[in-house]
Amino acid sequence: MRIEAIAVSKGSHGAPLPETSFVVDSGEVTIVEAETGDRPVVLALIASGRMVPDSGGITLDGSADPALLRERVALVDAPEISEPPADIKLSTALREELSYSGRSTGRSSILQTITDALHTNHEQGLTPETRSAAELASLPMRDVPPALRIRLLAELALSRPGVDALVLSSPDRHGGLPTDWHTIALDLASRHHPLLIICGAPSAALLPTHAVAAAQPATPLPLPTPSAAAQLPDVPLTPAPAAGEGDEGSGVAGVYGQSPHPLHPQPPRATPATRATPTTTERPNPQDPDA
Amino acid sequence: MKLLHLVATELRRLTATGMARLALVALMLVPVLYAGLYLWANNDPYGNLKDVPVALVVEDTGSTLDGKAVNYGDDVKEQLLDDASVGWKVTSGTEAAKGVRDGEFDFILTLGPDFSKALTSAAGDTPEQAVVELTTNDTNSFLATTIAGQVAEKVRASITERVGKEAALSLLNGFATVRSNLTEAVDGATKLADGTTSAADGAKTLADGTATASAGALSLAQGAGTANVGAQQLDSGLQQLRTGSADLPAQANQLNDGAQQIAAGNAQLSATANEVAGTVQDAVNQVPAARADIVAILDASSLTPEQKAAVLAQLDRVGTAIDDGNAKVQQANAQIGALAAGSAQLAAGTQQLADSAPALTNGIAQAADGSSQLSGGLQQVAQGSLDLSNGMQQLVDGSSALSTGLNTVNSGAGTLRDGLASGLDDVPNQTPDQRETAAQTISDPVALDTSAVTKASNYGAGMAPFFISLAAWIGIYALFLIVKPLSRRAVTAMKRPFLVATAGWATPAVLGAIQMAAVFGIITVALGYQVEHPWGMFGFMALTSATFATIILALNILLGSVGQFLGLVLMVLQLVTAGGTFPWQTLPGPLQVLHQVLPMSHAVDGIRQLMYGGNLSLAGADAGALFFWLVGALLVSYLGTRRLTRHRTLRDLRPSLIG
Repeated sequence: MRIEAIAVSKGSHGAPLPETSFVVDSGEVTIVEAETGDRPVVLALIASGRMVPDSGGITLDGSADPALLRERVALVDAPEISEPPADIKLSTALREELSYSGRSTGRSSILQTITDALHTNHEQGLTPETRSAAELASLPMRDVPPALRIRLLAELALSRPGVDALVLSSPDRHGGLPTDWHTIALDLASRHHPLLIICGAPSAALLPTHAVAAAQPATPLPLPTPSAAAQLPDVPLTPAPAAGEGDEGSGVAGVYGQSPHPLHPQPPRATPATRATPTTTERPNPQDPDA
Repeated sequence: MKLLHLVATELRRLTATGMARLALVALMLVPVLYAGLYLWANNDPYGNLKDVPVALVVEDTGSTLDGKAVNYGDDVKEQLLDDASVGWKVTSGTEAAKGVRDGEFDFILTLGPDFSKALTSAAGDTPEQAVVELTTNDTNSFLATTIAGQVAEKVRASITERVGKEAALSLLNGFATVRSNLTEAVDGATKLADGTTSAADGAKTLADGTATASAGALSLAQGAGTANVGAQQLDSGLQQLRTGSADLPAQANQLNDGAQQIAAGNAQLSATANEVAGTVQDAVNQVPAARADIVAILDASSLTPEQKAAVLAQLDRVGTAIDDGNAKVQQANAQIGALAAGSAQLAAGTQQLADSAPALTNGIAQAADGSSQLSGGLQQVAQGSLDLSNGMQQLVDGSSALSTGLNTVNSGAGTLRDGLASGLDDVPNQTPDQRETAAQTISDPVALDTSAVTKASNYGAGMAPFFISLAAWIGIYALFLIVKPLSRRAVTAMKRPFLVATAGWATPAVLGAIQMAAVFGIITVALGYQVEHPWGMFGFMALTSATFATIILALNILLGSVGQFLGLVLMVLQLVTAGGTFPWQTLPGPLQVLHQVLPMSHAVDGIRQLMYGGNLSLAGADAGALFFWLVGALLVSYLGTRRLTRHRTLRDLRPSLIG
């Protein structure tokens, strides 16, 4: 399955969304940088077929059918659009999400869902959680750890009938490590789902690798998933300089660094609204045991 | 189930934090506060008018009525102070004028110096109206002026009743006198009518009799005329007879002489004839003997028989002729004898005639004299009877005229009697007590008997349906300040716009039903209003609230906070057009159209029907209208949600102008 956006834009003079292109294939994570007020949401809506772009087009496996796109692509945790209200308890949010998927909404199902998510995150080497599922279930959404939140919302979105691809909007707004949600995204992509992540440039810059794409279709390149990712320590990762990085307009594949590094003071690139939006596409390791 | 989860999530979101719960409770209490406070404050304003300060100024100097001194001003004052429908304060004109300006009094009721004089003037020749003066000041309270008008009207009505009763009573007493006099008049008229009836009958008899008499007199006149003519003829005939019979005695004597001579001649003739006849008879008697001698001669002769027979035949012929001649002689002789006898009788008669003729002549002369007298008398009789007949004719005409005239008199008398009698019937026959009652009725002819089909227990209960409807709208409006119209997550996650719209409506509808339950409790328990169909009314209130929820939901979905603002505009519009206070027919035309269309009008009407026990079919129709709105607004919400499900616009994301 391939989702391809060609020079989609909304509004005029690049506001709220300048012309942006990206491609997401099954089993790949594509990162598109989008910042400022409406831009991430607009892009997320367009990418999931829920807003008509003023220019350009978006196709799913070559067909430009927004209804099909809406059916196959879920919009996860988009601010103001599909995020759970900050005040409600996690259990309430999960009950609603479970009901979207047509699954059991009992308390045991909710706790089981949390337990599964914690387990999967732990397996992926993310920050371990010391609190029990029941404790976490009674937390308001605003206090739920970002990695757990994104894991739960993304997994539950994928479990909805007909949903195959995810658009994850601004996962960086919850804080935490960008590598955490990136890892989760890679894990989900490794199950042959196309994954589009929309985040700010600073977060993108913190990821182990990223490429800056021009306002044209980025060529997605496969990225090996480091096996060492499972043993990541509790320190932020430093993206290793990738060969050929800096050539704007060409999608460059980044690879996870093998060793953890402290955050290096790489200045984030300012991305004016009228500038092209850099995108990064990564492919999880095909040999990943979870794949 | 998804619906329940969506509603549950929204309710959990609304109660997630202490602050949120506080906000929810506060907003949930809005309708209770609004309806409860208003209705409590206006529970019975008319019952509390006794606290409204009103100046009463009585300057009446009094008057006299039927020689008695009266002072209606003081009477009215006593009555008003006893009645105490408002807070009367008796004061002077100047104090009152000052007080009404600085708000000490809401209005002034003044009875001027000539109040009683004017009231008693109705009995005199120059009646004038009494004046109750009302001084109001709208700065005190506009409604106080309205109330003042009502109070003054009550005062006016009560005075009118009293004065009117006295006037009516004296009028009725006058009628009673008229009635007794009229009774006598009726009796007299009855007698008169009876008398004229007999007179008319008599006149009729008289007329009939005179007609008969007149006919008789006419016959008499005609008979007398005929008799007169006859008498004239008799008289002239008798005169002629007298003239003609004057020579009768002399002529009778001559006749007698002639007759005597005839009788004598005839006697001679008869004697002669007798001699002749005897002679002839003797001849005849000799014939047979002659014949026998001849026969004997013949026999003796030798003649043959034939010759003998021939001779005898000849002889017999002569013998027969002799017989015949004899018979004729004998006959003539007998006739001459009769003639002689007759002429002898005639002579005797003429002798008598001659003897009596003078007496006859004298008798005729006497008869002629008598008939002359008779004719003269009959002449007079005929003239008199003619006069009589003419007079009788006049009598007939007169009596006929008399009869006609008397008939007219009689019918006039009958009319007079009947008219007086029916007039008497029209004059009420009343005892003094009845006159008292009648006077009371005339002075206060119309009692307003309010037979209420349904009844609100007081002013507050009367206003309740309007304020319940308003509270329902305000409550829903307030809820939408914190309730999210749609679950955006659900719109994004599911292709079930109808479900999402229904969930968006169900949350405020449930909360609205709770609000309505609280309002219902306040009204029935705290304020103690009577509700005829409690369950029906509560159900209708919940329906009202749910309907308003769909309307504001649809506005929110379509227009965001601008739609919410339009909900406020719509509330103001319905506040004006719902007909909660004045009857909706008092609205200007365009607003009347809005009244028919907008849902709150139906809500007010339906709650009225159910609260006061009115027409349930009307309440059903109102519920139908609300349901129509509910379904329509839900359909609009669904269409808006479907659009959001398919594609958002930037306007959906941008914060709107308001809120």
